[in-house]
Amino acid sequence: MNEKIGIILCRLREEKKITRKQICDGLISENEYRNIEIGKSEGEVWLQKLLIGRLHIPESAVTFYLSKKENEMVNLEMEIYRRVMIWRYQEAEEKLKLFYDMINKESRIQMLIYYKLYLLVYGQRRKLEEAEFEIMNKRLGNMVSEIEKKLYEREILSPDELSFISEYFANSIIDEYERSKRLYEVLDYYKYEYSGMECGNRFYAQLNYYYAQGQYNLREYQNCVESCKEGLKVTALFGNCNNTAELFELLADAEGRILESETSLIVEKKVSQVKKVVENYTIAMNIYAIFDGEEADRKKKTVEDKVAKWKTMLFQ
Amino acid sequence: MENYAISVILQRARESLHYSRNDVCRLCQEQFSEKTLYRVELGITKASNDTIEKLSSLYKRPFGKLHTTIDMNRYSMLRIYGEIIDSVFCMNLTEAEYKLNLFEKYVEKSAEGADVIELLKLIIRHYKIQDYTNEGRNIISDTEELLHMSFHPKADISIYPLTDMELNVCFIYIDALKKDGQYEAAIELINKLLKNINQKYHNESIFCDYYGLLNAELATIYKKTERHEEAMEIVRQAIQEIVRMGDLTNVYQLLYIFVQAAEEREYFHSGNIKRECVESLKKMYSICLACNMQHRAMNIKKRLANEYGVSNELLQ
Repeated sequence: MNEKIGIILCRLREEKKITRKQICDGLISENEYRNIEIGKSEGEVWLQKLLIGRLHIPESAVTFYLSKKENEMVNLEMEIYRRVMIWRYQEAEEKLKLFYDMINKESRIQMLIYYKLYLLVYGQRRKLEEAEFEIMNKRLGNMVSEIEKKLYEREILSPDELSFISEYFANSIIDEYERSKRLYEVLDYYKYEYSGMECGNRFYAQLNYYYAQGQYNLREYQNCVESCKEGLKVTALFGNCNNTAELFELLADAEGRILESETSLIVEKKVSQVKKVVENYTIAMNIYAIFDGEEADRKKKTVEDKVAKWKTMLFQ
Repeated sequence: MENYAISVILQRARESLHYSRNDVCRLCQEQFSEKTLYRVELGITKASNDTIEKLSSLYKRPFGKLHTTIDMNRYSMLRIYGEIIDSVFCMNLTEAEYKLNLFEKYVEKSAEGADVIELLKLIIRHYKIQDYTNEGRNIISDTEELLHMSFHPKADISIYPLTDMELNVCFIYIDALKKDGQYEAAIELINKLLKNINQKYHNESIFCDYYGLLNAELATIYKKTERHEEAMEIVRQAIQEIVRMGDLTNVYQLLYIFVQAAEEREYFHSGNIKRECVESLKKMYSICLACNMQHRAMNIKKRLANEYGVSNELLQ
């Protein structure tokens, strides 16, 4: 069965006119890659995933036959994502520790997947420290700079590599303007390479959220609104409610800021816009309410306070 | 992406057919030893492609079915395959037929390819027939044909490892049993399927999806058979479980069944249940807005106002 991975890689690579050098660049040697294509060796599952990802094949196109351990690891990866999406960071952290215990620390590819998850889990909870980035860069060798270079030069990157670099940028200790510029590059790459592809929808929503957050901090509220709406288009289309609450909350925050700065609005218009802000907060609040957890409750409470503030304004 | 831990799947498939390891080796003309099979099933040894092919043919377990049937140069067809299933379940049969014609052109002319086409045709036919008796057909035997095409007729369904496609076929059979008024048989099958997926050999995403769907079916049948309280309890438990894992896909459907069950029995005269109904409808309203289903959202808003006396302001 494993030979099928080789066949898929070979046929699709030829169809897409991608050279062996391009597909294996920075991951493995051309010789090792050739052995996978002809079925002589399999390569670890993470490598297969990255190679398949570089061909931009929809995830559903490939069934991976895994060993028991590999299967557990792939499932753990998905479980970590899902826990973060519903703000159960404690559970996500526990699962990440399990994941770390299982990976081969010598494998740079497995370490890349681990750090992608690390940034996602811890980056949502707290500000990462410089020392953590130093360790990460040391463990990953030149992988980070290679991915960055490929991103700017529009060379092929897999969804995993792309989501790693966006997490890396989103959490880096750099000024907000620089962060926004880098995240914009990732967004631009996504539109250029992945537009319409099924494999990155969740990632696209998350990326828009990061970008919108940056724009909000830079007080570019109109850009923030647009980015939130872009993210919400994807979440609505695919029924992904998990990112939705945060995007709606941020959208209401930004629209509220714009509204506050408007001084010449007639009363009726102002009332209708305040109602819109309240409605967006309410959607966020009700979605937080579906996921009953400590963090979701805290988020719900924060939004409740914001709603109360805006409602007071409405009655005035 | 579907991942399979090959060792687990092979063991489950054998056990569900009540074969001993010795039987399997005998039926495969001793091409591998009992000891090898034992090691493969425990995940100590990785099975060779030959061994997997032999076992999959004996268990009638279509490993990697899609890879061999789809012309891989046109992998986008895989998406169409998924869309056919989605269109069928949304009862958009004209669309499903149109896509099936397109799909048929790109499927390799292998026996397995023909099987997939035949199966999809039977599925569409099942949903197209409005009245089986008038057409001189029997709904149960027709759908049993579907089941037998999908997996081994002797398989114990509570253990047999089922793919996404096979689970869909089981849903069609449940639908047939419901249409035929065989509610007890449908409940028995649902419980077997719940036992099956509870073994969690699928990834969490597939598990959540089917866990939600099966419980929604079960609750619907309980509601139909006047067991409203049980229906409501099943919905409560199912929502708790799927929300814990961060899946929202089936929450709307489950909430809908809950409200219907409560309303049919006029339970909402009781303060607590009425409150639960209002909360459920509020969540449904937010999910609709988040998923851009404006029309449904308006209907829920009206329902809340007319039947529960919840004003727009309260909703916000």
